[in-house]
Amino acid sequence: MPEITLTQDPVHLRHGSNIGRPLTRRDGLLKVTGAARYAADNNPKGLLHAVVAVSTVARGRVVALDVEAAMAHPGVVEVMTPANRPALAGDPDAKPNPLVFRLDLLQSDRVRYAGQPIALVVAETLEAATEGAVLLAPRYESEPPAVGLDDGERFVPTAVGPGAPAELRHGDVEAGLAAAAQAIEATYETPPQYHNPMEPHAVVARWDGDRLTLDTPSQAMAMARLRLAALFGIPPENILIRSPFLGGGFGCKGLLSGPQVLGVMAARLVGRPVKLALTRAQLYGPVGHRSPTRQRLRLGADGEGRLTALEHHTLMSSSRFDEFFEPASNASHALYASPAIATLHEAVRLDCGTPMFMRAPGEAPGSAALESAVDEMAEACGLDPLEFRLRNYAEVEPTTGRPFSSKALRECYARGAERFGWERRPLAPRSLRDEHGLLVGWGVGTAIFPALMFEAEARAVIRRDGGGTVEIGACDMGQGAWTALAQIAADAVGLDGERVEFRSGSSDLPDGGIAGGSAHTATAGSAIHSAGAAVVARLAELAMADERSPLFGAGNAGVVARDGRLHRRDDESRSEGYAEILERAGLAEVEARGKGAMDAAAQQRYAMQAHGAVFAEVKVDPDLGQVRVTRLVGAFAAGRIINPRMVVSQYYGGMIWGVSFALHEQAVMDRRSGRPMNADLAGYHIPVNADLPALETILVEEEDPHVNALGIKGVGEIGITGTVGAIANAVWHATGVRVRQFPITLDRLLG
Amino acid sequence: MRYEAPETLDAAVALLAGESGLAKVLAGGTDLLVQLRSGMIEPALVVDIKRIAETRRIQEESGGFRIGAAVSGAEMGEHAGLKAAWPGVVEAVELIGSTQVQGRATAAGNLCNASPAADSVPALVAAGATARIVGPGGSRELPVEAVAAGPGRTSLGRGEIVASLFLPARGAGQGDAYLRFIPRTEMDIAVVGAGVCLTLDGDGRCTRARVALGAVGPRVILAEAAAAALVGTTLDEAALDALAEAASAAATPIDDKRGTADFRRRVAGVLARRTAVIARDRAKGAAA
Ligand SMILES: Cc1cc2nc3c(=O)[nH]c(=O)nc-3n(C[C@H](O)[C@H](O)[C@H](O)COP(=O)(O)OP(=O)(O)OC[C@H]3O[C@@H](n4cnc5c(N)ncnc54)[C@H](O)[C@@H]3O)c2cc1C
Repeated sequence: MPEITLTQDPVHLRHGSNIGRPLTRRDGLLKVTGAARYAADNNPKGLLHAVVAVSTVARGRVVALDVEAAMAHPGVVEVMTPANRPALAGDPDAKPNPLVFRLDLLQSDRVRYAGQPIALVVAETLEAATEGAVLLAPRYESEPPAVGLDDGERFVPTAVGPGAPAELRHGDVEAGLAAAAQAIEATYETPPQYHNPMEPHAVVARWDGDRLTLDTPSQAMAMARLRLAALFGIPPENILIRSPFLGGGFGCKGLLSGPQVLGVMAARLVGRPVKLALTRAQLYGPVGHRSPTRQRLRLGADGEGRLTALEHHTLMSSSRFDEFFEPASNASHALYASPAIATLHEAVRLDCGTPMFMRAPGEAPGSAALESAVDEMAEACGLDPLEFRLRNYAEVEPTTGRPFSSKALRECYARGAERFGWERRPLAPRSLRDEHGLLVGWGVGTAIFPALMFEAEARAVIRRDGGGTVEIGACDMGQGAWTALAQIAADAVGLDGERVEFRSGSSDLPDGGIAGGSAHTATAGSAIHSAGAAVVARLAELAMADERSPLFGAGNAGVVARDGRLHRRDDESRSEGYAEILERAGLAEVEARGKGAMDAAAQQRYAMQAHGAVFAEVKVDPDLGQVRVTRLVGAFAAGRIINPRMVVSQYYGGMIWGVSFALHEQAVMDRRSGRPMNADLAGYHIPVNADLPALETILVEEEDPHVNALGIKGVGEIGITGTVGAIANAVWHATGVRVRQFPITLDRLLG
Repeated sequence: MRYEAPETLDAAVALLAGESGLAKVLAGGTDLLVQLRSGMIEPALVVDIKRIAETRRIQEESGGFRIGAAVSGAEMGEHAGLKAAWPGVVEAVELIGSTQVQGRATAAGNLCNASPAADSVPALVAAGATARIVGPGGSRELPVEAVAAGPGRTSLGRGEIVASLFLPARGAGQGDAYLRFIPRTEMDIAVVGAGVCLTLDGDGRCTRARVALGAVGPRVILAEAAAAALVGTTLDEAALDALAEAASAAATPIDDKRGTADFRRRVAGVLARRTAVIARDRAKGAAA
């Protein structure tokens, strides 16, 4: 089976007709009819239900659990506690690399955060298990928790995000500030936020000897499998994870969470299949969150409004027992040109669950602060905020001098501004009113998100019946991977979409990598593209070596695969169908594998980023401070667009999360107990439909020959960046009041 | 937990009075079921009143309307006569929740849940509505403002239930309105609510006013000084300013995550003023 990795155009060119089409979701019908089967919809025979009991204190020890009372409740089968949990082969507190996070798997009576699982009740029914968990009536020895950013000792973490340096200094910031004609210093705060996917984490686990089958939502099945293999001391091949659909993830299903493993442990303990589904409230603790941030920005500009210095300092938190540091300052690395840039991070440790990758980790809060500060700087210079951004346009990556692999940000600004009508914006704040007397404001923010890639593998088959199969363990978390990847697959094997069976969402398929970092289409897509090229190459070899084929001897000229046929590149009239080639070769099928990964050399040479410009209009009630976003226009350039319909939806989604970040979302922490006071969707607000304005997105064309063979950047998270700042800037423009605390709430606005 | 669904009020009262543990009435359940599921309450007995015929009707009575305790918000919204007479009350009820919640939620349940932020209550109080209470001792009629005793507490005795709400006949030159203030556009709990009911004479002078404020005290506040600021005036700017000031002064809010006390006091004034303008315009329409 040939295996090739592609970074350049393949010799056997294919002409795509699937990529670029605005197909609707292949799984759309399943979802609207309720036929899509999510993890918790599985009910294998003999199933038991598990419910976790979680800690109500944030720091201390569990000193008593009434296991007897729970066991005495009718229907309760077992109570799993630190005393009787199955032994683990791997230590849940081990940290072999930064992407392995410490899990709470009942290893001791220690409580490290509110919401930590402290026991698990397994019963014949969900009701009995729920009641059993209540009957445990835990008692604690508790200590006062550290809850806010001022509660801990500051330190500089060794790395931030997935392993970036915590501090980067380019040029001399102090000299830049000293030489500046205008300088500003401003501090912005963002609150703790929780991922809140629609589908809470669920797992249905079944053991057969030392083989494990589980239905559970996962943004990275192969990694989940490795973690489980290490924890339970079994080979990864013994584990089958099925994750055909995720009801959203936003990062909290990227790495296996503690409760998912607890479900597996419970199944082992009772020797029957077990289902464990978290409640909404239980998502506020053991599955990650975004840390609060306090970001101080110092900017200087010369008489022409060109930045002389940019310093971005972030204070954020991690848990007391593990490391994840929101890399917010790094949003300032690649966006605005400045001779001096410093990005700095400090952290404190709090008694909370470990923060986790969440919707544009780093970029989202970092962009919120940076875009606000840039607006404040523009105001100090007396410049239109868009003009100010253009004057500070980075032609090369400012901190490294590397050229961008592609960058159509200028077009984004221009097209977005035109659609929005930006040129009519008065410079002075509080100078627009609508017919009802509401204050109107317009703001802009620049969007940026790195074009990342992980590693993935795919398998492609072309059969004698003229059809094909493409397999990859990729994840459709609602973003449309099933659809977009299938489009890439059809082009990869030169077949019409209907003739290709696309299989995905299961760990027994080739490793599809991670649906995260906005890198899934690029990574899994590249793997599919490589596998397709490889299988077409095999077919071409067969034909070109066979003198009975019209393609015999095409050799150096090469062939093109299209509509189930190979054509000579130099003479398209000479062609042969896949079926005939295989028929004559006496083969039922040919298959090949391919890989997708970033091209390290290209990554060295080029800065790779997707860009965009977001324009926002808000209306503010002058008496009540009520803010409504009335218009959002986002123009984005993110390389090749596989499916414009899905991509527009991704941008909408990102922009909606931006509205959420700017105006609604925040976990309000109880300083005494360390618990969030609004651990449900009635209290933890995200925008409802009525809060959402007319959204418009513009797909700005961008060809990128360097990011990967298909020229794909990511679109999943960029929409949230830029949007938050654009809204905050519009609120300032409407009211003249600069709120530096997110979300911008009414009382903060009225002061 | 025992669940009963009797078919008469007497049977319901008997069940409730006979239970020594916690007994709860179930109307739409949009509060009660949430409280049950979250473990906030664990009643020994739940008595569903939806099978009792007289709780399911809206009936005209003495020129006004008697609304059964199990009538849903959606049903009130579909009642043309009720809507024409008491638009403020109906709008307030219709603000509760979403379409799904509207199909179940009742005004009586909103009242008996005794949340300080209940949307329909300020409108009912402003309208001068009464509640018919039936219990082991018979039946009595209580002004709605006397039903809530504090957050989550009512003045109802053991075995007592609200059988119906009564909205009096709408007088000539009378108009009512309700506005609530929420940060989000929908699906949110009032930060402040204001209900106003006004009567104007032929000259457009206010002869009677009731102003009720929600979410700015432990229970809905009947702001008498605010109402007094309107009576005798033609509801000109000066009178409306005085109303706003009096409403802010009447508010006794607390700080919570949905707004600071200062902010709520301020909003109470702005909102009372805006509500009064709508009520005034309706009253003028009614006088014409
Ligand atoms: C998604 C959602 C959104 C909501 N939005 C709003 C909103 O915008 N504004 C708002 O004010 N509320 C809102 N609510 C709360 C709730 O819907 C209202 O309070 C509703 O009016 C309650 O009516 P119900 O018939 O469902 O009451 P139930 O839940 O049946 O009862 C509520 C309480 O009153 C008692 N009770 C009910 N009927 C009687 C009776 N006849 N006699 C004595 N006691 C009785 C019950 O025992 C219980 O304690 C919302 C609820 C949900 C779930």
